[in-house]
Order: sequence, then C-alpha cells, then structure tokens
Amino acid sequence: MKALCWYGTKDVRVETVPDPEILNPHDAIIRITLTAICGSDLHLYNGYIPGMQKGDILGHEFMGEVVEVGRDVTRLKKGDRVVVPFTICCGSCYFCQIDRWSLCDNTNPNATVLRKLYGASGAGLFGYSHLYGGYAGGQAQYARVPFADVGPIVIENGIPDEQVLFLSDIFPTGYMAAENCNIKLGDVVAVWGCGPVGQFAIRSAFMLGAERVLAIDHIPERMEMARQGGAEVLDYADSDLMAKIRELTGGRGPDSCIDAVGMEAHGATLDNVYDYAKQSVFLETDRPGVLRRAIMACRKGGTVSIPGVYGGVLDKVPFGAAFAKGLTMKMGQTDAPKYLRPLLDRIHRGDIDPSFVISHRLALQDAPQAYNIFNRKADRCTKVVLQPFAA
Amino acid sequence: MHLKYDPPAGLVGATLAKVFGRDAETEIETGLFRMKQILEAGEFATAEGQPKGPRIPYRQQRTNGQEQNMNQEVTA
Repeated sequence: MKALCWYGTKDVRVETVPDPEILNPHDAIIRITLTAICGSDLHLYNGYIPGMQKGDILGHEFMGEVVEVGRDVTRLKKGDRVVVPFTICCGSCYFCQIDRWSLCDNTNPNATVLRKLYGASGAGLFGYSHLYGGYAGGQAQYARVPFADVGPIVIENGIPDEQVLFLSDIFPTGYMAAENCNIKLGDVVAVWGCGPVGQFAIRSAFMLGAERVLAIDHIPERMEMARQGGAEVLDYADSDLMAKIRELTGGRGPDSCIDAVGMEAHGATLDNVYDYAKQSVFLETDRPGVLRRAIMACRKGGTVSIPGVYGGVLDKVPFGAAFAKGLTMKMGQTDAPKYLRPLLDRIHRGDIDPSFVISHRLALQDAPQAYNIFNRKADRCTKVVLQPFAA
Repeated sequence: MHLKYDPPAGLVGATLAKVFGRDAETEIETGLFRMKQILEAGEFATAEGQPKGPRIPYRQQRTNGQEQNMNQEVTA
C-alpha cells in the first residue's frame, strides 16, 4: 500500500510499504477512505517530538471501512464504516473505566520509556512517535486498529466522510478544551490560536453556553473563520493585546483562556525571541509564549485550558501569577472515545458541520507538499484532507 | 516471581544492559506490565510487525544515494 512516511525534520515521503496485518485478537484492518493532517503532526514534521524512526507512518485522523477483524472482535464487522479516534484504548483499565480514555494504562507498548520521562504513560497513539507506542498511522491506504471494539464509532451511510472525519481528533479536542473551561452561561472565553482545534474550541464554547469568545491569531483567513464562528477577533502581533483583552472584559479578564497553540508558539515578542534562541541551542524544548499570556490574561479564579501539545520542560512560566490568581489549569490529550457519540449527535442535529475547517482536498500522493504548505500556513491553508485512493 | 539475572560480561555487561533498557529492573517491570495488560485487556499491546517505510526511501535509492527532498521541490 501507499503510506506517508517520516524520514527526518521536514522530510516526509509517500512510500510503498507492506499492507498491515492482524497482529492481536482485538485488531481490525481499516481501508481508509479519508484522512487528514493535524496541527500536531507538524510538531513531528518540525522534529520537536523525540522517539521518531525513519520510515514511521504518520497520521492519526482517519476513517474508513472495516475489511478484516481479529478473532476476538465482536462489535465491529467487515463492511462497517468507522471513524477511528486517535487514542488507542483498552476499555478495561481503571482510566478507561472512569472515562479518562487518553490515560489508558494498557495500550502503549513502550510505556516504560514514558514512565521514565514523565512518571507515567498514557494511551498509545496512532502515528505519533515510539514514545506513544510506535503505532503505524493513518495517512495511508490501510491501517491496523488495535482494540477495535473499544474506540471506533460506526457511522451509518448517508453522511459524507468530510462531516464526520474530525470526530477522530480535532472536534473532540476543541470540545474537551471548552468543556474543561467549566463554562457557565454568560462567560467570556479567550481562545489563543485559530487553527482547526481553536476553531472547534470557539464553536464548542458557544455550544456550552459562553456569551462571548475572544479569538487570538494573526493569519487573516483563520481570523475570518473565527469571526464567522461568532468570535471577536484579536491580533497577537498587536502590542496592546493584553490591554485590549482587559478592556473587552470589563478590566477583569476572560473567565477562561484556551491555549490551542502549544509548544510552537509564533510571534516576535521578547519572550518568544528568547524561547527561539534557547530552543535553537537545545536549552529549551517548548516555546510556551501563549501559555504565559493565557495565565496572565485570565481572570482571578478562572480556568486555563490547554489542548495545545507540550512535550518537555517549560521556561519562565508565570506560575506565581497562576497561584496568586487561584487559577485552575486543565490539560492533556483528548479523551476522544467519550465524545464520539454526543458529538456525532450534534452533527446529525445540524448544530455544526465540521467540514467548514477544510481548505485543501488532496490525494495521499500530494501529502509531502501538503505538509509543506500547512507548516508555512501558505496558500490559505487551515486543514488538509487526503484521499488515499485518489489517483 | 523468580528471575535469574546473569548478564554476560559481568558488571560491564550489566551497565551496558542498563543503557539499552535490558537490565533486570526494566525486564521485571516490562514483564509485570505485560501481565497486567493480559489480565485487564486480554492481550498485550504491540506495534511489532506493523508496516513501515524502507529505511532508505525509494526516491533516494533511485537517485543513487543523492538526497532528493520533495519539500524543496515545492518551495523552489
């Protein structure tokens, strides 16, 4: 089959690789009909996530048709149309049982490494480095899905792939980010980053009762998309940004702040230049500029919700401010399986059509170019979907 | 649980084993982790035997070892 493989920083290629096989009794093989490139794939592309090996297949947002099931698979059957959540979950450990699926104990075969790094390991993830299990990803024509009875959701025919594909990651991720804000009717939520997760966070915040959403970015088409979602848009390059946020919130600050950017924050502010410098000589792993601002902007007693990915040790994070203001901080990988059914219902009801975020529809063959464009945010690129079997 | 640990080349071997994560502590931890997986989930998670791109990508082989970066083609 054809698959998009990682070969190094800014070096991904479409290669011919062997087809996946059933390796465990709870596995299924999916013939992929639509897949996407996630903003977090760019952290791999830019070489910020350790534990990658040459030839690793990327991709954790995919859907398709079940073509083969292992002997212990009972819920899925051949021919089912499924969306596969990016977290691989066993469904039976303590964490799966308490609905914290992304923290699954049993699905990362390389848990020992993460345990040494972080003290514990969460769920294995598709196509997201050997730290998270080394599972082959879904930017391919076929994928092996472990614990196939647990994660994937069966989608009835009649609803287009593009409307349901993002249940795999970015829609639940934006939704969980908003849910983590514990929004009360009338709240003001500030969202940093108007990429796809930010876009879904904006819309989810409104769904959960926010009265106003402030969206912060710099890329015109993404700001426009946020505006269409009902947000009031601010430019992060504006030197008065923090003052403006205060003004717009009656001097108090937003009730909650969402960092939908993570470790690769951009911008020419002094602290970000400092992060760039330290990162370039490997003295720092992440550039937490947005997290710093989210903490500083948030109102007393508010919540900072972090769906953006961080990987290492962060520098100069104003923890004193977070403490003094009594902030709640919530973060982590998305408990995707928990949200599949409720969010699919919302799509059915017409609350949202997630395909609004797509800017590029390409063939898998074009994936390397797509990474390049998406990474540079060129060509008005917000979200790329790839068709694995298109010529 | 009984585990006999007798690394080749004595102390040197044991130190090397630790570097590569094959020391007794890691082996026991991995063994217990697999047992927990089988008890709870019915199998132990693995990515061994999954497809992977060739170590030397096809385009590079074809151009006789000369690096051909597709991304540069796009930006050019």
